[in-house]
Parts: sequence; structure tokens; C-alpha cells
Amino acid sequence: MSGRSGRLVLASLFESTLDLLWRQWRAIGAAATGQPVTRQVDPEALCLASLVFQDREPRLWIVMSDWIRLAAPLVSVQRLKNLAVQFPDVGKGVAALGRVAWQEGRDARWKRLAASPQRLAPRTSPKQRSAGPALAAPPALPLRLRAAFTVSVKADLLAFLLGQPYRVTVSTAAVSLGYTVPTVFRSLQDLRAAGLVESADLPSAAEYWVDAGKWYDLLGGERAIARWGFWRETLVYVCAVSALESRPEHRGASDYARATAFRELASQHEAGLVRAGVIERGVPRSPSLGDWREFHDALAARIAALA
Amino acid sequence: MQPLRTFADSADIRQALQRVGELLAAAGEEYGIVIVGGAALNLMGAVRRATRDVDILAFARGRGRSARLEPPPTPLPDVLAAAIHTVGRDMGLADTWLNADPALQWKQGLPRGLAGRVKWRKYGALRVGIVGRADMIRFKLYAAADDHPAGRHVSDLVALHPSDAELREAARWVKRQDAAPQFPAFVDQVVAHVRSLWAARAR
Repeated sequence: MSGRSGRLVLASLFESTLDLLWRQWRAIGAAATGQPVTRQVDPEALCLASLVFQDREPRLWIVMSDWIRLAAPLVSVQRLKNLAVQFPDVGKGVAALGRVAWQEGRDARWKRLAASPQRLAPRTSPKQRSAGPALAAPPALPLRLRAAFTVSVKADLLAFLLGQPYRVTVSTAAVSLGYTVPTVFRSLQDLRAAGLVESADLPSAAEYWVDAGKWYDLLGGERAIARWGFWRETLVYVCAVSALESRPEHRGASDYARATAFRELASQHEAGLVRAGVIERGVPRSPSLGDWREFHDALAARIAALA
Repeated sequence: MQPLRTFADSADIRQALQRVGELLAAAGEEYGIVIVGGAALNLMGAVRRATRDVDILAFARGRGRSARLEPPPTPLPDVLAAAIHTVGRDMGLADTWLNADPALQWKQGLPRGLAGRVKWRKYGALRVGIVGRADMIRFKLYAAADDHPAGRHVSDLVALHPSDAELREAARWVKRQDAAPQFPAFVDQVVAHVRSLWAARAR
């Protein structure tokens, strides 16, 4: 396969993902252009995916670092650190982001991510482009609730449950948010005891939900609450594909080897992609590169449709 | 679950080996193997028959005439085993379609000078050596002596068109492989049987 046709296997997916990242940044108040997304933004997943995609689009770093100067207190350092293992080769990027948030965002929590006390290089443009996190925007609900209740599992759980059309189990909430099951379980128990979360003990597993109607007046009506996006699952997969594609031995491999590598990777992420609603029937089992082009094109279209 | 299939012909075998080689190349690994048996005969063009598997006799270090043969590692290296599994699944073959079962022959010893008679082919990052004709006759005669007279090893041996001298030389080597007192007689019977089949065909 020629390099050109090889790139076409993923062109639409990367284009769609970049568009998603820009629109998510726009939705939470960063100085990005485009139509803001309509679903809730996962801030840590957005930062990590932007670090991965900055090689393809260097302006992502400019927009992210500009935003983090004002929004650092609303981003979870611990969650960023936990989720970082799911994103390929982001270690240096996380440290760089930590330095910006610590030294320019004046948030000491980030110091432990900064890796070294090395001073930041002077900014190319000292002008602050973003006006700070757009807390009232529906997709920024997780940031809004963190601003209200501090950066915590409980704030994230409330945003997650408010964004659900159905009841969810502890394990679904835990895997979707990237927290451990015991942590989520304890937090849900507290929220239930406080009367903020409802629950039903079913034979299989307890299910939890919030009575969203009670929150409408407080948050500004039904439209102020965006659906949860499940973007982490999708972004983790696309970033893994991007990392695979950047390996010279993969780019130079035969169609069969490339297709089987895509299949292996997609199989590992299948459950997450189904949960995210970006695929319906599982991933292809085919060793044909053409089938993988179709799959990635369909995934790109689904990302665009859900954003 | 679909029933496992066999290799229909040499093109089928070449495709499977090529795919393994492509997966190895993508993983940045390279291996050299020496094969015997029905798949090797198919690739040589000596026979054209269905076969279930590809038998690895040896692994090779180095290339060409300077290649040094050694017993296949047990288990096979992870990357190679994963490639075999992937290709087997894609082509509907058994997981053991590429196996090192003939490696037991190393305990009794290989024919002297076998490495120099191997003919090499390249399938991506997999170099496949096919044992030379004289060695193939030795291995087939050995297998036929352990098999039914109407078995496939005998017909494979006939298909190789061994000369009297080749059969004599092969019989000498095969008789040293088994200490059972009746074994040399079995070998002579097979040789006689092959000669009679070959003579009947010639008529």
C-alpha cells in the first residue's frame, strides 16, 4: 500500500477528532473557533487528547495552555494523572502543562506534575486570549459543579448522573469517569445520604440517578444540562490509533499487517466504544484494510454527529 | 464455529507464510525456519495435495550457506506464536498449523550437511528453508517405515522419484534412527515397495 492510501485509512477520523477537540475547547471557554459541542466535556480527557494531537495541530497547545492559566483550579490533577496512562506518550506534555498551570496559573496542586522546577520560557504572546472557563455553558457542567463543590469525585458524579437519560450502576459510573469502583461507591452512598442522588437496589446491582427536575431551577433550566459525552472512551481509542500510525514499522507494513494491527487495537477498545455509542455492532473482525477504512470513516461520521 | 480447513495447495501455503512474515516485519522481528513434510513438498513442487500443517524442523541463525541450524525453541517465540495464531484465525486453520513437532528429530540427529542443502525463500520477515531433495527422501522414508504401506508418506516418497542410489543412501541413514531389531527389515520392505510402485508407473 502506498503511503498516501495508507493515510486515507485514518484521514477522516483524525480530521473529525481534531474538529471535536476544537469544538470542545470552544465550549468550555478557550480561545478556539467553531461551533461548540453540545455534550458535556471531560476536561482531563480533552487536555490529554490535545497533548497527543498537538503533533498534528500545534495550535492546540497554544489554546490549551492559554485556557489552563485561568482554569487550572477547576482541572483535577489526580484524575489527569490517573487517565494519563490511557493516552500514549503524554508524559512530557503533562509535565509541560503542569508547569504552565503551576507557574502561570498560580495553582500549587500542579507542582507535582511539573516534574522539574525549570522556569517556563517567556510566552510568545503575553496576551491572554481566553476569558476563562465558560461555566454557564451546558457542556461545561462538570467544571461548573467543580467550581461549586470543589474538584472532587462527587462533583463529577453529579455532572455524570445529570447527563444520563437512564439509571446507571456503580461500575458504569466508575469506568466512564475513570475512578475506582470503591471510590465511586462511597461517593454515591454519601450523595444518596445527602438526598442528592436516588437509588434502587436491584437483584443484579444497585442503580443510581438524579432527579434532574429538581436541578433545573438551580442550573438554569433543562437546556443548561448537557448529556454526558463519553468522550474519554472515544478519544483514548483515537489517540491509540494515532500512536500506532506514527510508528514507522506500522506505516511501512503490508495491508494485512496494518489491518490486523487495527483489529487488535480496536478489539481492546471495543467495550469503551460501544459504551460511548460511537459504534453499534462491535468492531470488524476483518483483515482487510478496506474494511478498516470504512470502519474509521463511519466512526468519524459518528463522532461528528454526536458532538 | 466453522470447521478448520487444510491448505489446498502451495499458493495457500505461500499466502499463510507471507502473512506471518508481514506480521513479523510490522513487529520488527525476523526469523528463519527450516521446514519438512507435506507443506515443504508442496512448495518444492514435488506434490500437489492438501496438507494440514507446516512442520518446522529447525530455526536458523545467520543467512544463506553460513546459516547455522538449531532446534526450534519451545515454546515458539511470542511474536512468532502470535503471528501464527492471527494468520490461523484469519485463514480458518488450526492454531498449530505452523508447528515444531519434527524437532524431536534433533534427539537422534539430522543428516550430515543438511544445512548446506537447504533452499531458502523469503516471505516478508520470515525466511523459510526447505530441506534438500536428498534429505526430504530420508525423512519421508523414515516416516514411511513407521506408516501404513498405502499411507501418504509412501506416495510422497514415490512422488519424489528417488533413484536407486538415493534410496540406498536414505535407507542407510534411516536404519540408524531406530534401534528396534526389526526396524531395518521394515525399511527394506518400504524401499522394495517404493521401487515396485515406481516400476509399475514406469510401465
